[in-house]
Amino acid sequence: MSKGIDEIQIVMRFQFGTKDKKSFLLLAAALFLTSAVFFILSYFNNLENFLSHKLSLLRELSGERRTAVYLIKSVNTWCHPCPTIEELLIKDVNIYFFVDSDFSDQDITNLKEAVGLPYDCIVQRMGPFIESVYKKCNRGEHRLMWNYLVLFSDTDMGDVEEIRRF
Amino acid sequence: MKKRVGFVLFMLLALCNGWPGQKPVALELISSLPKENTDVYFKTSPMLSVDPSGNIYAVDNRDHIIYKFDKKTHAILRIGRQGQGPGELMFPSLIYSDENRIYVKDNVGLSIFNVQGNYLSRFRLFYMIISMAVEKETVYLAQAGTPNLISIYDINGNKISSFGSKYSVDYSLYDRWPSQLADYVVNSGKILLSKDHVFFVSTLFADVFKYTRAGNLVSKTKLVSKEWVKKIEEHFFKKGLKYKKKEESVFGFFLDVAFDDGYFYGMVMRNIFKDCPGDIIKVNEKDMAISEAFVFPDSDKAKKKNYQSLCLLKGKDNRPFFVVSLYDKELADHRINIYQQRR
Repeated sequence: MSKGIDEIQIVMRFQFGTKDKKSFLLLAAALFLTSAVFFILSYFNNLENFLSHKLSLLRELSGERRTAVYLIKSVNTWCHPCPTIEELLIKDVNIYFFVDSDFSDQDITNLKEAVGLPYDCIVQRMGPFIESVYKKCNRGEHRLMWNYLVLFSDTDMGDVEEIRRF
Repeated sequence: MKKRVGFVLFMLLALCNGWPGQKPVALELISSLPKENTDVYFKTSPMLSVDPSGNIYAVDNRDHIIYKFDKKTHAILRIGRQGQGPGELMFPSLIYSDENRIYVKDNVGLSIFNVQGNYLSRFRLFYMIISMAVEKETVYLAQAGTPNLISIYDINGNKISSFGSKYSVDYSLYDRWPSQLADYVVNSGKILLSKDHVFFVSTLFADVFKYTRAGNLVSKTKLVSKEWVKKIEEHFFKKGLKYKKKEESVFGFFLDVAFDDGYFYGMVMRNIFKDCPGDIIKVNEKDMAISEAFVFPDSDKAKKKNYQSLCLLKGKDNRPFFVVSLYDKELADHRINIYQQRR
């Protein structure tokens, strides 16, 4: 047993002797710096992703106009009103609300009451353009949040003018 | 003298439990669904409803479909399919049927079909639905996330009125629970309709709230002994629950409740509440006293069966048949069993 420990000590002395100590420290420092750089890079990468999710809502797409598109699919939610909608309403962002094409007027009234949307807020039924956007975004850029499918206006999602025309 | 005191004490104890002490009525299995050699297969224990003609409707939450069985228990219709479009169902969880229509609540809303299985209409629901009852095209919904417990809608989704207060929940005791979900769990129960009144029976705490049709509270009574539900009340009101914590399994008193001809029929989680005189207890609406108790034929194997939904089928001499959905662990199968009272 003790022989084994001696062997290890010999090996350690051989590897990390006085001459090799500097190179070891250099190696450790290099490793530390590299990992720190990776950490910072990944942190900022995550941060950027995080911010892009949060801030894309407020992204200015046409001049000074801030736009967000909400596509409300089935709202059988257990956590409402949706905080993001509330935030946006406070921040005076232009929001387009779209619902499935078979929502009745009564459904839209009930939805506004349940979600806490102002009654004068316009909720539109989904047509072909938004439906295509929805299908496109379903493959990639989408965010499902408490059953609210929130589509962020983005350049690859079509122009705001196009949405407005719709 | 001692005998008299003993007798009085015994009677007092029996009355405290609301149970006069008769022998429970044994139930016998008369039919089990789905029958062999049919293409009916339940993926979950279905929620049940029986229409006035005696047809049984079973809604399968995972199969997104409704099965209709006739009086002779033959599967005669398959209604709906998975989807979010009109006539389609997405995780249906509640069903109610009357002589003309079938009402189904799913993740999208409330879909209405005729008894032939044809889609009629739908309106969207934006709250969690605890229970549903329908009468003369008026839909009673117990909802979570709303200030009042029961809301009344017409079949187009137009809200007519709402009434009924909820149990007050200390949300700080419900670690990481979304408030609407805690509201949903604590106020679990069933809406039952009589000719003049609307009842809400709390399946957790066995309380009965009796309302007039206008929504005024007439009375609040406990259906069973306070001792039986004391622990449940402590858990929900004083201890609270932690979200998705598996080891903390807390049960309500009733699994399901039905109402017929002035009597409540409550299916009890008997393997937990062993003092309860039967698997199903019959309580008189007038004095709220247990008048009869029933035991399943395989009551001793209660742990091997997970009972889910209870409905009543009109039998002879006003003695109903019990239609019960369950998961049979021995058979590893979801079934609907029909029991009758043994003479």
